[in-house]
Amino acid sequence: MSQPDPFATLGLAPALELDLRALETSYLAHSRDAHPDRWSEELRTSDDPAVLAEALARSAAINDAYRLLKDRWLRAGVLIDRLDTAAREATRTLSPPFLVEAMELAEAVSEAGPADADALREEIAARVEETFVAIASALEAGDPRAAATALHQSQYFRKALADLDARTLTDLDPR
Amino acid sequence: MTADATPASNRIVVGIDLGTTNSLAAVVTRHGPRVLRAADGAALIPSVLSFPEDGGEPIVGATAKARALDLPARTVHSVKRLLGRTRTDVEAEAARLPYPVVPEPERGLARIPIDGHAWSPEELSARVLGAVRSQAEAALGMPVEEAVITVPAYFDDAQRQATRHAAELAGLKCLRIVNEPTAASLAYGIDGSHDGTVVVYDLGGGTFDVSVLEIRDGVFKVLATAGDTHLGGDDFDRVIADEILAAAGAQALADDPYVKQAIRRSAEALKIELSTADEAELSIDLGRDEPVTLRLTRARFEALIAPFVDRTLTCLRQALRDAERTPDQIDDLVLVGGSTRVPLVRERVAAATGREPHAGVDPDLAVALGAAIQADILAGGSRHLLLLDVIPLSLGLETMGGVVSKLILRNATIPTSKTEEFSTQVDGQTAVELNIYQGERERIVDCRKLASFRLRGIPPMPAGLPRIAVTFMVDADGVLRVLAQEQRTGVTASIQVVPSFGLTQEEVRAMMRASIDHAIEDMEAREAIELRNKAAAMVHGTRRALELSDLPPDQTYAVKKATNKVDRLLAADDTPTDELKRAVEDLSRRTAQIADDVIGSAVQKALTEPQKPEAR
Repeated sequence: MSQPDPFATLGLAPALELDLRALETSYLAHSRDAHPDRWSEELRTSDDPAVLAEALARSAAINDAYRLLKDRWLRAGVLIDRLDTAAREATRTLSPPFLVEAMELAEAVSEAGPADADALREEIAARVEETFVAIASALEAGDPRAAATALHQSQYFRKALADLDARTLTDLDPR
Repeated sequence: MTADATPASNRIVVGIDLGTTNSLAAVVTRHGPRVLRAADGAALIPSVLSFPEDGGEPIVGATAKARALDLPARTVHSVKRLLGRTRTDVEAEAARLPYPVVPEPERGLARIPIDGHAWSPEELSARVLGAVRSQAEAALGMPVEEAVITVPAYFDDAQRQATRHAAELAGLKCLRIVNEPTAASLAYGIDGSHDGTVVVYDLGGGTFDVSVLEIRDGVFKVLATAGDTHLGGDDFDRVIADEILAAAGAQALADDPYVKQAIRRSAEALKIELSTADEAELSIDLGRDEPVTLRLTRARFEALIAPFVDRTLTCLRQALRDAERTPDQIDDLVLVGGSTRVPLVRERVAAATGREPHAGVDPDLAVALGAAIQADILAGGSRHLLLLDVIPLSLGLETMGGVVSKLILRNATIPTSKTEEFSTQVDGQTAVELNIYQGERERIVDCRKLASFRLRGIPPMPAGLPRIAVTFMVDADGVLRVLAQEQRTGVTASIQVVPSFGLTQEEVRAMMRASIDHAIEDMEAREAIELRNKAAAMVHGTRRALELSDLPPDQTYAVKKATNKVDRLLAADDTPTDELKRAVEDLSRRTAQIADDVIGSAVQKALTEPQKPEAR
């Protein structure tokens, strides 16, 4: 069972850079049409489970497409899958030098004190942006595997950033 | 029939707030949503039933409530707390109820035995709904057959379905189950002048919900919801009741139904008095020589209830975090539920959100008015409105090693569906057991099991070859259906999840908090389990691959050596995760070449990881 293409579901041209306002407008327009609240009386009272399931699946696909396209990383994943469905699976194993670097970064995060948290955050945020640019140019060059590798790498940086935020939140939050 | 209550269309669909303490109905008229009142002007019907001593039909509402002291063991209140629950789930509060609660023999569901009949909470709720329906019909002057009924956002499948059953028993067609805070937001935002981010804080008699919504151009989009299905004004009453009991100096008396009922009443009265006065005194006759006197200051009352209020604020922060909003992004705060009249609650919530509560919403009526608006949408009116709600708890499937693979994450907009592929773990396996769980933690022992079913008739194949697509689908009522299909053969199995029990409040709350506390520990445990699964699959797959392939001897030797090393490390229970990880990576490098070049896709399939949900 293949999941439908989120871009096609919402009637949008596939692109990594997306106007979020336009995305939301399209999402709401499709939802106004397909949401179970808007189903006709015949549809709502249909005895045919297949008809109901299809209508429900359509509404669910719209919600799912919006979820996937709203977040730029999930959107990147969608674009990679469109080019090569095996790319993400095939690139799961990252290079040892990268893993060493990621480990060092995780360590720096777990040891960061209030004094150096801000500098570290800036550094990691820069790496996050770098990987996003790498994904964008790999997609543009039609190289889904390179994009997938960068996407996998970005997860380490994004997790480091989230961990750092969580740490500073718990440390600084007096509640 | 008053002109005010004339419905907007010929088809009547009412909105019903079926509350722990009070229930009521509303309908959308030509002049907007209106509450359907009794002839004397009363809107709220106490959700209380009284069983006459002569064994006649139970009386519902204000009359029943008035008889509570005369017939303490024959008066049933707070039945919503028992809906969709087992007797074990409600252990703690059953002890405090003046009426008995017993388990039903088959699944242990809560039952209330009166005059030899074991009443189900659904039947009792149906009586309450019946009283609401009568009041609505009298106000409208015409029959009511269809309704939208509200439930706490944090109600699980069992509780939602129990509510549906209650409606059926009352002869009402339930067109939709709507979450209470979402309904309240509709009542608040209906006039279109409140676009922005809104927090709805709903503290009722027995349940607590908090939702963060975005309202824009008639679209009400729930961003996140959090809550506790066992936290409410009843808990405030209870701590006061404990004070009264302490003052009475006779704990033993607490087992007497009359004393329980009398104390409950007095506690409620004290609470209400302390919402305006700084001090209150009560004298209560417990049938002994002297009445018991208790003087309670507001400060003492607030100290007693502070832990409960703190719990609601934890949920509030959780909901804001999930919605990715900070307090300064909140445009308005809407308080719903009678318990938000308690000054401490208002102060603390206002402080936590940095907003003063919105004054234009009646906390007792907002939910029913919102339900009426949703009813109108379903009846074909209010076409400019669209309501996008979410599912409160994540749903997943048990995978190898007791890990929950989440298919649907909490706060996903409903309806939603997700399909993921799984495979078998044993060669020649012809059936798989699908266990469905609800909760936020990584391991099944920390989540609540909803249901299980088997997919049979898979033709025998090597482990990892069958492709079993499992689809979770949640409808607009928040109810789950699961479908499993083996992709090569088309063998299918499906169920509508009819859980045998709901989550206890403690479990839901503990699960939420624990998922935060244990996130790191869980991830590590999960990674270790996944790594072991992956390693075992690789050893198995590689050995099969070697049989099928004809590699040059030196490569075969190197792959075999790496395979045996992983196998050895797996056999030793105390292998550090890091060491295993390195060995697996080594093997994976050596086999990548084979998998890509030499061997057919089937073996490659056997080499891939069994299941790995997308990282969020």
